[in-house]
Amino acid sequence: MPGLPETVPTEAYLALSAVLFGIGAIGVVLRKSALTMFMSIELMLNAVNLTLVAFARQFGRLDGQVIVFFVMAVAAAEVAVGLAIIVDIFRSRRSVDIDDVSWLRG
Amino acid sequence: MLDQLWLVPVLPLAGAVLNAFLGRRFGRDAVVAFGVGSVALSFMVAVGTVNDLLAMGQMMHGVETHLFPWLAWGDGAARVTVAEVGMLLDPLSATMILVVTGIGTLIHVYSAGYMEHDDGFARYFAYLNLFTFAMLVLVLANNLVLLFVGWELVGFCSWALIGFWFDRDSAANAGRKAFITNRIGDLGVLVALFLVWANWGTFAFHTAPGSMTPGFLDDPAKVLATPLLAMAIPLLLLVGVTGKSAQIPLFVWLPDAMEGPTPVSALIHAATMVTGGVYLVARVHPVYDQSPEALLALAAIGALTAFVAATIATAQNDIKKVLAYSTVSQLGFMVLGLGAGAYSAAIFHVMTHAFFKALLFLGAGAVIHGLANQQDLRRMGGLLRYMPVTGWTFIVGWLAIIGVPGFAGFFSKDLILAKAFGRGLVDPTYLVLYGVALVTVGLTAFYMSRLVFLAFFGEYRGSHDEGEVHPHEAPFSMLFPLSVLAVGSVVAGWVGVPAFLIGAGGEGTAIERFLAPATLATGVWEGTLNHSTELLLAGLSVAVTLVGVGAAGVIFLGEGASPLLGELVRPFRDLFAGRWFLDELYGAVVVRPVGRVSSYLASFDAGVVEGTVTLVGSSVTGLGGILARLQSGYVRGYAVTMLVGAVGVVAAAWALR
Amino acid sequence: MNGVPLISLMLAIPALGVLGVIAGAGRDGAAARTIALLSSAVTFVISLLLWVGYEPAGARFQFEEQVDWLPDFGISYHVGIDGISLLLILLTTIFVPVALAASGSSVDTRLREFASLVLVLQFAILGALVALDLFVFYIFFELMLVPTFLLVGVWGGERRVAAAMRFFLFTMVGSVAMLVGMIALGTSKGTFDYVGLIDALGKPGGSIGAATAMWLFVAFTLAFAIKVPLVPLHSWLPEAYVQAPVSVTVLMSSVMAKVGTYGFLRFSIGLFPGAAQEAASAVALLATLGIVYGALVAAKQRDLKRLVAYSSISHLGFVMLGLVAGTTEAVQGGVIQMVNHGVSTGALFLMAGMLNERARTWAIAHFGGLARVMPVFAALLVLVTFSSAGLPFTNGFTGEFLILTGAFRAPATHVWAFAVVGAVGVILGAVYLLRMFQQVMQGPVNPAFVAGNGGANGPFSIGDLTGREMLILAPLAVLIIWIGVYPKPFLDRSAPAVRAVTASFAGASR
Repeated sequence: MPGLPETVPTEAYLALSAVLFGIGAIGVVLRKSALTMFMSIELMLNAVNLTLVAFARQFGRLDGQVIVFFVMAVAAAEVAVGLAIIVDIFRSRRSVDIDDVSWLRG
Repeated sequence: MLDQLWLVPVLPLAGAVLNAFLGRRFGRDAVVAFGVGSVALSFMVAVGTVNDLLAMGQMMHGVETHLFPWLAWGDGAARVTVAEVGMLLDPLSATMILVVTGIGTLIHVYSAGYMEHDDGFARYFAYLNLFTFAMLVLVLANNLVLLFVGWELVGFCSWALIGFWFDRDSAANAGRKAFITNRIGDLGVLVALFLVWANWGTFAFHTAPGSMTPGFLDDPAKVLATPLLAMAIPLLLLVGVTGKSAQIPLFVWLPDAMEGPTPVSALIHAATMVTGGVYLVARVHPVYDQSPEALLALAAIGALTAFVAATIATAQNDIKKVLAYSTVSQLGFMVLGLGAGAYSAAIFHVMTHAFFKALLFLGAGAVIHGLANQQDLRRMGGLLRYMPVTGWTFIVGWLAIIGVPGFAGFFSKDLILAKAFGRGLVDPTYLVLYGVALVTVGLTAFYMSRLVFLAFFGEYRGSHDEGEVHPHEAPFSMLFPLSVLAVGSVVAGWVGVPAFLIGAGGEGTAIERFLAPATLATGVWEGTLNHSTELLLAGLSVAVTLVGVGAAGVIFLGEGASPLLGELVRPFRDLFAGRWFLDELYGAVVVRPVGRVSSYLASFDAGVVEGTVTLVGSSVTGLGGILARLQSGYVRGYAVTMLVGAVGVVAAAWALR
Repeated sequence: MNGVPLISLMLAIPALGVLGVIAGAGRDGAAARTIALLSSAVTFVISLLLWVGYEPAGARFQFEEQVDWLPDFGISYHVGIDGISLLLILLTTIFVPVALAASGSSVDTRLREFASLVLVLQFAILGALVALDLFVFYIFFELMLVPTFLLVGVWGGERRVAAAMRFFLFTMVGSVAMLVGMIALGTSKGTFDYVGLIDALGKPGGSIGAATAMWLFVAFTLAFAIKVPLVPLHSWLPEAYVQAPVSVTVLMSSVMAKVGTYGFLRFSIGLFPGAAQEAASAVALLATLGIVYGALVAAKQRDLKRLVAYSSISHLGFVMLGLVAGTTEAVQGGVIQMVNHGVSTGALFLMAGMLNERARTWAIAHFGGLARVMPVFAALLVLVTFSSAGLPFTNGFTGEFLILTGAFRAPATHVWAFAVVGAVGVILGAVYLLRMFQQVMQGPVNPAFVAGNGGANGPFSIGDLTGREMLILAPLAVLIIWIGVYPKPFLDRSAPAVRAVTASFAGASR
């Protein structure tokens, strides 16, 4: 396919990653449901992962991919802990509205 | 016997320990046995050692005994000795230990009778023995630090014995005042000690065998950087002397010390402890010989104290207070003698004074005992009839202190006056001091005669009819010491009979020759007045004495003073009766200001220091409180903050690229 | 005996004692005190072996043990003693059983926890005294905080929590400064070993520069000055001493404060003699200020315990003045005065506590005339009071005289004047101590103590010393006289170590 580059340029990945990250960030800030916030965070993490993989490919090095595995492992652990907390909050409050959970104010 | 010298101080110490630990269990007889026995034994050992010392003939510094290292560390070549425990027996300390143990024994015997009914009997003897030990440490010490140990320990015993009847607030206060006033004087001694160490690097009086550092008295001319510092040591020691020997300005504690039992007043506050200052100067006199200024200061303080105290004594009505001021006055004579460079004359007066003042105090004690604790002269009178032994021995003491020829006081006091006069021929200032002292001789005759006339002559003015108090004679245990002391008050002076009376040759009197190896001044003026001058001086003081006795006789035995005279002397009487208002002055100048500073600091500590700390604490908590408000608890708030922060950081990094 | 690691053994006994107390004492803790006493008795015996085995003429540090710990950082478990630490170890091993025995009725809850915390404190103090590695020292130094905090905060008086908190925060600030200084020094020289550091610093070219040395000196000294404490860093002390139960107060003043003075001598002066020399006048000024300030403030206290607390500040001023003066006499005096302060102030606190157990008050005004009621107690209090006031032939004189005489000829500027002012402090000491004695013991008997019915205590409502109390005070009385009359055995042991310090001090001043 002439006129088109042979591979997708890194800029495209970065653009997508920025959009995903923005959606995630806005989601974290604006949504009240703990679960949605959680998913938004995952979105941000994956945006970062995408960046890392894109750069790894561009420079032909493995470090970025290795870090991605770390991030995925940590994210998995985080999901386990975070979901447990959310479930517990739901049990005690019958709600996952994050604004209800503001006992830790100074 | 010289090898047993250590027993002299140790025996009373053993008595003190036994009485302290076992006295209450053993009963009074055992307490008396320990208490009196130990001091009596100590006296016997002292006599034996002094006898041996005399047998050794002429000597330079006497005999030193090194007992054990004290403030010292290391062994062999690495040994550092700041101070050791050792004894020096020379004519000076020999005289003192005989006085301390001899008169001490008599006063212990007397105490057994005087304190018989007191329930603190064992405690009393424990402290009295401990005092004897401390005083012996003071006079036997072979170095300045050990001397200071004795110096402080006698002060401690004095505190304990003045406040012996501690239930009385006045007694406890007097004890505390005595100790603290003495400590103010001790500050001078302490700083003098620092200077001695800094200058000589040793506290030993004399060079120890095999020691590289010469004793500081053997090398008195090695002085600090400036003449000012050379003068500093004797002047600082003088501060200590004014405390211990009750001189101006620190004598105010001694009259209050009469709160203690009377035998204590006799032993500690008349015969022995208060002469510690005189002994100190005599002991370190080579240092004084270096500084004519310090000697003049001594002489001036002595003469002035003698005069001021004598004036106060004329206006006191408490029999013990009169004697207390008389002691201060007599100590003034001794210090005047020291200041004239006549150290042996001063020590001679220490000795004779120990006899007659102990006699007078014990006699006063017998009077107080016989009158059921009445001490007011105005309530006495005619007591000679009721208590003849006390009365007659007291009269002997009176004759001795006013200096009637033949009695002990005459010889020693006259020797001091003659020396002061003699030095006056070189330094006229001393002539003024001699004049002051001569007037004081007259005053002494006046106030002592007043005391004797009021107490023992005339009619008894106490309350006969109420049937409560019948003046009665004291028991034998009290009369025996009085009699011995009365004999001593006569014969003690005979060792110092001047050459012009007996026509003997040789330099000075017998006692001076005996003391000379230890006390002969070096470098200050020494000379002999010719015999006719000496005779004239003696005649002059006898004449002044007679005037004093006569005046007292007219006023207190005869018609009494004329109203006009009474009016004329009233302001003086008020001044004297008010003790020259020195206590008030010190209260206003020293005691209260220190108290105020102390209160101020206490509130400073409670207020400002505490406050600062609390302020630091509360400001941290306060700041924390403000910052804590940022923690809203809303997770999304934190998320926004984080986002903004991250964007901010990135933006900043980009902008500053 | 050479093969036995005595020091580690000595450290192990209190640690084992803690386990013993936890395991052996029942829930009510009845046996806790007995087990702890037993453990501290064994520790005391071991410390006696050290005393016997220590050779004044021998090596600088003896009974040394060294095991690598974190070799990459130059940190090792290095312990050993010299004469100075030896004296303080004995002080510690004497006072822990004394304090345990004296805790009596003032501590009657959670005995098991109390006894084990006291042993932990002993473990920490002994560890700090034997450590020859800065890191190990720091760990023990900080470990002292924990049991003390709890001992004050749990068993103390009404305002115990605030007092404990303040003590903790003050000490923490100092410790952090020391930690920073320590890390800076250790990393720059590649070792935390005390001996190694002294060698490294003493080598030609090994100097760290005067300015750096001064900073490090200040960092170390801050920690110790707060622990001692040096005025004006003392404001944690009165509250903590007053709020703590008597036995804990005794441990804090008699033993723990000594770790401060010890650390100052060992580390501040030992590692940075040049800086110490330069700062001598300033430290001496603060020390003298403390002597006078403590005495004047003590004179106005109406609370017996608070009075002794301020007197403690005054007495520790003497110690610091002696240590920083740098002449052999003064440092020797400072070292022996550490022991003296422990004995005399400790005895004063103990006796105040005995009064409090009887009268249930600390207010001086509520006593009076007790010499009539408690003659044996009065006699002992005379001894302790005058020892504290520095009467000759008691321990107080030995220390204070050596300190002042030595300080007077100290090379640093103006230190001689501080010696003179310090001598004024001796007078002030007599002022407040004698007033205290008079108000408590003399005068008419306070009617509150008159029972009138001739009960077990005769005509009075309170009794004289019990056998147990006499047993507690007896060793202290013996030490007071012993150090006063024949201090040579003590001075002999500290002399070589002191000489080493003063030699470096004098060398630094060129």
